[in-house]
Amino acid sequence: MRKPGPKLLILISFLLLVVSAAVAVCIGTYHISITDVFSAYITYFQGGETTVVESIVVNLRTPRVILALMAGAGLAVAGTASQSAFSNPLASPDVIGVSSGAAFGAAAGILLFNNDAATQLMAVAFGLAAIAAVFALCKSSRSDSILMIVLSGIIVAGLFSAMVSLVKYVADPMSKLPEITYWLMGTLSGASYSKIIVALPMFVAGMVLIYVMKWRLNILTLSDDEVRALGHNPKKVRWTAVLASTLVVAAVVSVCGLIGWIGLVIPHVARLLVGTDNRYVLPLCISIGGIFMLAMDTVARTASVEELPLSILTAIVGAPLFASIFIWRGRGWT
Amino acid sequence: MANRTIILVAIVAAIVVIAGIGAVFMTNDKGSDETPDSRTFVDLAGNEVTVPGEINRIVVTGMHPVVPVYTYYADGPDKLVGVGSPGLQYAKSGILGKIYPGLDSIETVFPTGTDTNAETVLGLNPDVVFYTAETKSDYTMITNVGLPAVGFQTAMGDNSKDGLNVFNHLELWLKQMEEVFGDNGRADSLISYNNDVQDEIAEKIADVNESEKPKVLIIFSYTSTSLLVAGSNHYSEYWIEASGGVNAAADVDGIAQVNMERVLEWNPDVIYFANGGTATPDDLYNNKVGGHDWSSVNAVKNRKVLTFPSATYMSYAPSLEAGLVLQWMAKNNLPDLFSDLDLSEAVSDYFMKFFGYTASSEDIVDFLAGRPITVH
Repeated sequence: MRKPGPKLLILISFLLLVVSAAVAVCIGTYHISITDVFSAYITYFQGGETTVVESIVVNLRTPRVILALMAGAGLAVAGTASQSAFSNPLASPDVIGVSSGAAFGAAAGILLFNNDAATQLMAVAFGLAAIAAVFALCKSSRSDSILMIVLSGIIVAGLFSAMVSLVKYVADPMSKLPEITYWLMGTLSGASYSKIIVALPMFVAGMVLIYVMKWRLNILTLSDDEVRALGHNPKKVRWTAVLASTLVVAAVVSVCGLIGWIGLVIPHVARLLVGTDNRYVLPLCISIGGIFMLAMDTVARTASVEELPLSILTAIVGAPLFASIFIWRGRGWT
Repeated sequence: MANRTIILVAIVAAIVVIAGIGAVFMTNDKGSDETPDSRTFVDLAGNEVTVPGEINRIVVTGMHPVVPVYTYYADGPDKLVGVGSPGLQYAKSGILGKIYPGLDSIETVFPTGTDTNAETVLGLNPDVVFYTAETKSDYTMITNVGLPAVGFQTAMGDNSKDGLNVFNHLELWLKQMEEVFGDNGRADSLISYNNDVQDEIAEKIADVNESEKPKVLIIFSYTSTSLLVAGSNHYSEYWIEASGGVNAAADVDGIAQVNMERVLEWNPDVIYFANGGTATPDDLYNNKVGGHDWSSVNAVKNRKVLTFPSATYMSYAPSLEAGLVLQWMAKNNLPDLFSDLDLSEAVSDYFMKFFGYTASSEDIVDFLAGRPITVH
């Protein structure tokens, strides 16, 4: 029997994605039967007084499911782009300081403003500031070798982590501090359409950019000289990929807080299934990332009375998953 | 050469400081007939502490609620020479700030209350330092520099019912003030008022059926990204049970993040904000936070969303005004049963009795309306 082709796998995974989204909206702590869930959409759009069921299905569960899909797909795709850009299977947008920068922006936003959009924009602004700082460091050291980019990233990430600690230190322990702490552990509990809309333009821009670059990301695994021989400027391609994944990660972090492991593990799962060709890896990252995140978030919101922080769940599931891929592959990374 | 001069200056300075401290002790030793030379007791942290009989300079590190409690006990904040910023902000922000304008001139040497520094404390030359009993490092630091450290506990111990009752904490703190400063009667008078209030309310709600009690939810803080509720094993458990309600979030342990779907499932009849965050009842009535729709929640339908009234501290936690808060909550939970309870009168009597302050009608309305308190 032949192994299923990549296209078939992608098709199946997207079907699964749709099915899991449909299942997720039916699951919740407030008991609503499956038929009621789907009729809620119809009655909601017919207008009239919004019932509790409609409100839960349309205004609570649906935006949360959409956000989970966005976050999972976005982080996985950004992870793939980073790993290609740095030709390093361990790279992720966290390494170059984007997450720390965005985390600082959001924490400061929570401390200073009492406004969602302002907090979100702060997260995005500081995510971009982090990557700008990395770029400036590389520029002034007159080297943008992969090592220099990663080193600059570590410096920038370290600085922003310290600044996050500073914000936590001065935050009111009775109100702002718990909010910042929960947010740093990642949560989708505040999902709403308005937040999604604020994050969407950057998210889409970054995703489209990465998708358009899928060929160029493939050749980045070659040495810089070989890339040049193929008629591309490796530095330009690398920075574009970094910028694109920054846009996506900053957009996701600005709404969901810090969620680890997805960007690292999902690209490896995808490569395990379809090989290293980004034409297939990227779409598969979208569907697998989305399904994984959706599953984690559904557990987070239903497993106990309290909301579980997402980063804890993704780490508990992601770390063993990563370890088993590592063992299964036996030796070396491709 | 220069080095030697520095060392010499340092030695001279040290001698002067030590001599100065000695001189202070010598003066204290003479003492007067009324105040003893010193007082020794076991504090709430379990340490034996000896404090001078005459205390003129007090520093409070960390332990925010002690600022108003001391101010009440001493009938004025004049001897507080250094306190943590949040404690002072809480104390000043309510009626207490009007009663004791002196609160304005106290130095806030510890911006967060968790950053105690031994040299800063020494520089204030205190006779006694009040600290948070759970912060063991503060104890070591303060006693290392030879100052008496009196611990005030905040934790709820083993979460036994006793530890959840805010009045028990307040009583322990007031009693410890007696140990430190001698008995001036002010501790007992407030304790007995609080006991009477608790008894009266308990007696009235004893006959109420569980089914007639409203489902009550206490929201600790609410923003678009986080909804923290106070469930069981926290002050919320005491407040709700003592005021004749049923805890809607009884399944939640302590203060925890929950989602909106859970709140809709609980559908509480009354919602209280524990004046921790910035959200107000209006935010729920008008669905202003995070795009959540509260309109189907009973408490919102019946306009029963309230904020803990605070005069000296955030009153969800142990505070001087806990007796008023309990009456206010009972009346809001069971309005028919407490129809004869006149809250304005209770507030006015309370401030006259304990602070000798005539509360204006504006004060009373302000207090009862409750408000979120945020400090930085």
